[in-house]
Amino acid sequence: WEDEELSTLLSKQESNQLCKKLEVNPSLARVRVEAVDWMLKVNAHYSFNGLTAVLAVNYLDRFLFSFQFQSEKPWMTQLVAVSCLSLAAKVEETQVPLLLDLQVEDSRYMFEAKTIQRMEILILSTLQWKMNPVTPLSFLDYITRRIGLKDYLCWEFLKRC
Amino acid sequence: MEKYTLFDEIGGGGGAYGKVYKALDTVSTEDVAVQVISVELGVPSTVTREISALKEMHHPNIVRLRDVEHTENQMFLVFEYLHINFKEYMDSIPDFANNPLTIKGFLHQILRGVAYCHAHEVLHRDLKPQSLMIDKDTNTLKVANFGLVRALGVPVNTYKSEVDTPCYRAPEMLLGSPNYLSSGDVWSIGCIFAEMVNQKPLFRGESEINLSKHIFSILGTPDEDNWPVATSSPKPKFRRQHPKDLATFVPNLDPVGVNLLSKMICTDPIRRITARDALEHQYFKELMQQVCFPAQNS
Repeated sequence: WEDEELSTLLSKQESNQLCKKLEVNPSLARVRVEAVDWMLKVNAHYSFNGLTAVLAVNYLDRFLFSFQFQSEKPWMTQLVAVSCLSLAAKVEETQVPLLLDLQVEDSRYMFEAKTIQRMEILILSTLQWKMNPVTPLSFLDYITRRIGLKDYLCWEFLKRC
Repeated sequence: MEKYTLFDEIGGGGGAYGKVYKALDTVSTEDVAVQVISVELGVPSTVTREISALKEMHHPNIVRLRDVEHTENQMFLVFEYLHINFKEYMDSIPDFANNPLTIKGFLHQILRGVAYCHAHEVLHRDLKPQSLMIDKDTNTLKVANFGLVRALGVPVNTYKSEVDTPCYRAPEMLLGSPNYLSSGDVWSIGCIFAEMVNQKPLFRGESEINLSKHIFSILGTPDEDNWPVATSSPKPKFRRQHPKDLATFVPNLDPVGVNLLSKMICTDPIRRITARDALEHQYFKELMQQVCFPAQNS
């Protein structure tokens, strides 16, 4: 069944469709870099798991790809970034900071919880509620188990990815 | 929500935890069941996790989540519509228990659905005959309301008042374990198994303490070393009782079935059989590949 697990992972993985869009749209690319940069800072600030960061960026990319995005509204990017990070924390972390507390690390705009909650729903429905994508970490997790790293070692290893 | 026309509220499996309505999908003209959840305070993390898990779960023994819609304050979970729950089904067929193959077939279906969910790290947390739905056309059993019970954040007191009895709850939960594990679901399936055989619940008790007493009066009181909950707080006192012969409580069940039941309702959650292992048990060997069902009214 271990091979079965690998083939499931392979069949479920999806390519990042945003890449092509970024190549032809430098302003979107810039906006994305800023958003990812901020999300990683907050991720470090709260010592969230590596997977939380990976998920947040995954949600951001999929949302930017599917949604007609207005990059001339910089507050919009910030709202999407904080919502994606909040969703990733909800999925992966055991302790999730309050929405107001999540907006640290020189957040250029501050949003009310209500506004973020609405954006979360928009993101959830745009991503069709598929919040557990196959990520590179899924393969690392599989490989560490397959080569028989003991639980603790495996955990330490994944934590540092 | 224009796509759906809501009709009457239905009990369904999860009526107590968010209103469920029978509805019509006006595009496909199929019947559906719609569960309405308030999201005025945002979408709780548990709802987010469970819906994303349900979205990816495709199994013949799990009720299908067809669609998720929302307005500003409400979410609508659209499920496939199934005729009746397993409790109603058993009540409607008095000689249900006469054919051991029928029981095996349904038990195997419950275990298949639950094992699939456990493999996807989703726990049900409230398995009982009312949360299993039956498609009468095919006699297919589907596990419904997976994981939504705790996801909806129902306060404990509401839970107690709306559920008539905690009959299907595992002893570790009755004794206040803070964590729900997959073993808790297996206990509940064991209780449902015994209920199919006896046509009435195996364990009864008005309160959690009374139910625990009844469980221990049959299975024996666990000693210090085998206490089902790791706790530093004082343990409730139970009279010391030795395990009785389980077979006498399920007189119509063959010894192989009693063996499986004893493994599913093992008081120690650590030693309890998993859903996946239960599927491999000798008890199911006659089922072969295709699950057999007698004609409905035979």
